[in-house]
Amino acid sequence: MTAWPAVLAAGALSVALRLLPLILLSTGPPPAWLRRVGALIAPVVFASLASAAVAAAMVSRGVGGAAPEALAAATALAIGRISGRRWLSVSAGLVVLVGLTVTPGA
Amino acid sequence: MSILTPTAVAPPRSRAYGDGARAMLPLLIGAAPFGVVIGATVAGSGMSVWPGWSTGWLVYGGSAQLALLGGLADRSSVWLLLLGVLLINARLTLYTAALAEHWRAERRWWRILAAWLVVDPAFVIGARGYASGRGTRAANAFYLGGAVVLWIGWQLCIVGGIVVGTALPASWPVGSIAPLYLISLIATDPDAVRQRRPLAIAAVVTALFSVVPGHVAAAAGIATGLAAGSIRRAASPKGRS
Repeated sequence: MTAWPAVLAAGALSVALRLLPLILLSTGPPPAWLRRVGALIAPVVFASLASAAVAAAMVSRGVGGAAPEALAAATALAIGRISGRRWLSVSAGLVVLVGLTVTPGA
Repeated sequence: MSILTPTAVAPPRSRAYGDGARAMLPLLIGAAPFGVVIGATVAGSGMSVWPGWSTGWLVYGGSAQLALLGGLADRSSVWLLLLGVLLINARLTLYTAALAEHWRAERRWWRILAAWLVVDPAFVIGARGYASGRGTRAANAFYLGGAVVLWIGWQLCIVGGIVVGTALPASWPVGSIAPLYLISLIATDPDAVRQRRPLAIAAVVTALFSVVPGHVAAAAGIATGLAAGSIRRAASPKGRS
């Protein structure tokens, strides 16, 4: 099987998924449910994607193997909450991650 | 006006394109290893390089690209491959729906380009721009500046993966920058912190579904978290008004 038909069909599907809301929402106002969850979409998506990254590490290396990622995420969350500074949150998480990753047995 | 006349101050919209491009860099660095892995997958799959590389600008979503490439290597049914792409990329419809409300004043080509470039990091930058209070037109430019940089960087990462994919040390934790950045966005946003219940539900459901094959975890988490938040808001007196 040549790959082109599947790649082109998958591409068309992906573009359609992106363009569909432009067509549906071009004339009227957004639906009520979208307005209700509008402010929630970004943080919920961020939480899911971050969780997916940690969970993927757990699935591939086991709960213990993913401890660096889990602790780094918890550190970034805590430091971000306390300091309110984004760069400090990311830096603290990275320090924990690198420290635990290079520690033998971690 | 002479061409030597100094330009006083860059207009906010053109400056916003650059701001968005710079804001995208941490997310691009975080996404880069994923792009390199996809390039390496293309190189190692035995398929022709062109259709494999073309998934980068046609499908333009790391998880969906990886699932598609894996399915092609395994000679899976085209319908199964398309179902997988549909499940994985369904969240992009939600992203565009959330962003498109801000794009109504833009030209059609701009809106189509903006929608075509929607993907997780681009949505992150877009949401940041619209929450920053810089005005809709400038926030649109902020989004598109970041989205274009991401798109270009993504294509280059895939090419890099095709050429030297296996040379990147696996021990480098660059892939963890993106999730840490996402966590920092939540942790430093007081509005997001106040919505911690739907966020926690989304995170837990995503983690639970991560053992399910088919890359449905994030989609399940997002849907459940939004449903929980929507029910909560509908039930609250403020939400009903």
